[in-house]
Amino acid sequence: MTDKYRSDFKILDQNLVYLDSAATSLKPKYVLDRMEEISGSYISTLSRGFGQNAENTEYLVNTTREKLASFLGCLGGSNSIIFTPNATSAINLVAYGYVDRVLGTDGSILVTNEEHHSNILPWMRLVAKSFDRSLKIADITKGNYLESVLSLIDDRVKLISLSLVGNVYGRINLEDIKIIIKEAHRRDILVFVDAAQAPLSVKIDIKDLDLDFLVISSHKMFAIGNTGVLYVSDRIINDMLPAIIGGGTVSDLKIDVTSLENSTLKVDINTMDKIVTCFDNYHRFEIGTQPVLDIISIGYAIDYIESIGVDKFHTINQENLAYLIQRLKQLDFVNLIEYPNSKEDRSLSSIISFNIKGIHCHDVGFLLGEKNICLRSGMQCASLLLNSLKVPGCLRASLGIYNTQDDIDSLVEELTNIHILFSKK
Amino acid sequence: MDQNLYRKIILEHNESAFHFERPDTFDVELNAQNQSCGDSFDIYLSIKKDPGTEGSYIEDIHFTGSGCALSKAVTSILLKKIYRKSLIEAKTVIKDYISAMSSDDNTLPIDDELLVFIPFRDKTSRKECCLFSASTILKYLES
Repeated sequence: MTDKYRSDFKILDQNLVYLDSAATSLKPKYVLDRMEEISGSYISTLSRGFGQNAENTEYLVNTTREKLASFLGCLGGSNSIIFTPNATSAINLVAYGYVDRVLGTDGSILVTNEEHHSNILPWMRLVAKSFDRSLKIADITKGNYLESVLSLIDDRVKLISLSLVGNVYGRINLEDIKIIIKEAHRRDILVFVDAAQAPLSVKIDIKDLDLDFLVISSHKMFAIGNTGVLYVSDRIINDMLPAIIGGGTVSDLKIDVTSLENSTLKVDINTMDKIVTCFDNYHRFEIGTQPVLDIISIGYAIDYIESIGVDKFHTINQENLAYLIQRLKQLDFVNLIEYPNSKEDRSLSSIISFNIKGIHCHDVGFLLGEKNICLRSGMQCASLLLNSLKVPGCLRASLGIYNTQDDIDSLVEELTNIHILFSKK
Repeated sequence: MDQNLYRKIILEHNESAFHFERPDTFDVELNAQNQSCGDSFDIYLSIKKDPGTEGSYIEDIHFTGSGCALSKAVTSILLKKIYRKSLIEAKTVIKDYISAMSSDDNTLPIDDELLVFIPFRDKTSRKECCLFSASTILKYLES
C-alpha cells in the first residue's frame, strides 16, 4: 500500500478521509495549478475570436479532444468526441438524437437492474413515447450478468445500454460486455456503454470494443467542472440529429427575412432540414458557449492519469479495496452488498457497498461525516438494484489513488464506534 | 455536533418510539415521505369531538414505517406532544416547531425535547429528516 500520490492532493492536508471517489474525484495539484495559470493569463470563447488568446484557447480545447481520443482508443479520432454539459446529458443526446428513430414503433431497449437512474430514465421516457416499445431489464443479482443480458436479446431489441462499472457492486463488467457487443452487432443491435465509473479502473479501448456509443464523466477523473465526454461511432455521428439545437452547431441559416410574407416564417421539420445545415461531427452537438476551462482541465487530468498509468491506478485501488473488504468482513455487524460469485479479483474496481445491521445508512453516513470521513449513503442512484435486493439504502465507500490503509482503519474504527453508540440502551 | 445528542434523546425514541404500531381503528391515515431519500412513515389519527368545546381533539395517534433515527425520533416526539391535544393546540405545536427549524430565531416556544433537533437546521443533508413528518401533519391540520 502506498501513500506516494497523497501529496498530489492538497485538500488532504486537512484532516480528511475521502472515500467518495465514485461520486467525484479529488482534484490533483497538477490540474489545479495548470488551471490557475490559464485562467489568470489567457482565455477566450471558441470559434468566435482572433488573436493569441483565441488561438491558445482553440489549441488547448483541440488538444484535449485529441488526448481524449487517444486515451479512449477512439476509432475515427477526435471528430467522434463530443463535449456535453454532463454525462446524463450525453445519454439524453443519444436517446433523442438517434435511438428514438431506430426504435421505430415497437423496438426495445435492454438494460440491467444495476444501471443508475441516468442510464434508465432517458430510455424509459423514450419507450413511453409509443405503446408497443418496451424496456427490458436484466436481473443480474443472481451473479449471472452475461446470461441474464444475452437471454433477453430478441429481434425487437435495438439498443443495449450497460455500465462498464456498476454504481453499487463496483464490478468491472468488461469481459461480459465484450461478448455482448459481439452478439449485439451480429444482430445489428446498437450498444451504449456508460463508462462514468470506469476510466481509472479499466483501460478503455473503443477500437477493440467496437462500440457505438460511450460516455465518461470528467469530474470523476480529476477534471474540474462536470463536463461529459460522449463518443459516437463515425458510422453514426453524422446521422445523429442534435436533440438540442442552438448557436455554434449550424453552418448557415438560409432565411432572407425581406422575402417573408407578412414577416412570418412557416417551417416544419422537413423544411427546417433544408434551411438549417448542421455542421458535421462533434460540432453539431456542442451548442452555445462551451465551458472551455472545464474542457481544458480534462486534458491536464489525462496528463496526470497517464503519468501514473491506468494499470497502476487499478492495482493500487484493488490492493486498498481488498484490505477494506477484509476489514469490513471482520465486523460482524456489517452486511456487505457484493456481486454474487465475485471471486474474480480483477473484476472489482474501487467500490464496496454495505450497511451496519439495524442502523439507517443516513445515520451512519452523517456521523462519519461529523468525523470528516466522507462516503455516500442512500440509494446510490441505483434504486432498481437496491429494490431488487430489498435494501432500502446503503453506504458506499469508493477509493482513489490518494487513499491509504490509515483511511480504511479510520473508517473501520468509526463504524465500530457508531455500532457501539446505537447498541447502548 | 456532539454524539451525545443521539444518545440522550434521539436514540431513545429511535429504539422505543411513541405509539409505533398500526392501530386497529383510526379515522385518518397520513403518509409522510422524505422525497430526498425515500424514508416514509404512515401516521394514524383518531379524531373526536370535544364535548366541552366546539372543536375536536386527537384522541389517539400512532405511526409505522421506516426512516433514519433522526426522522423516527422527530416523528415520535411530535406525536407524543400532540397526543390528546385539540386540533388547534396541535397545530400550534407543529407550527412552532417548523418555524424554529426554518429560521435563526432561538426564542420560539418549542419544547425541551424538540430543542435537540435545532442544530440540524443548519445541516442541509439532515434538515429534511427533521421536517417531513411535521410538514405532513401540519398540512392535514390546516386542511
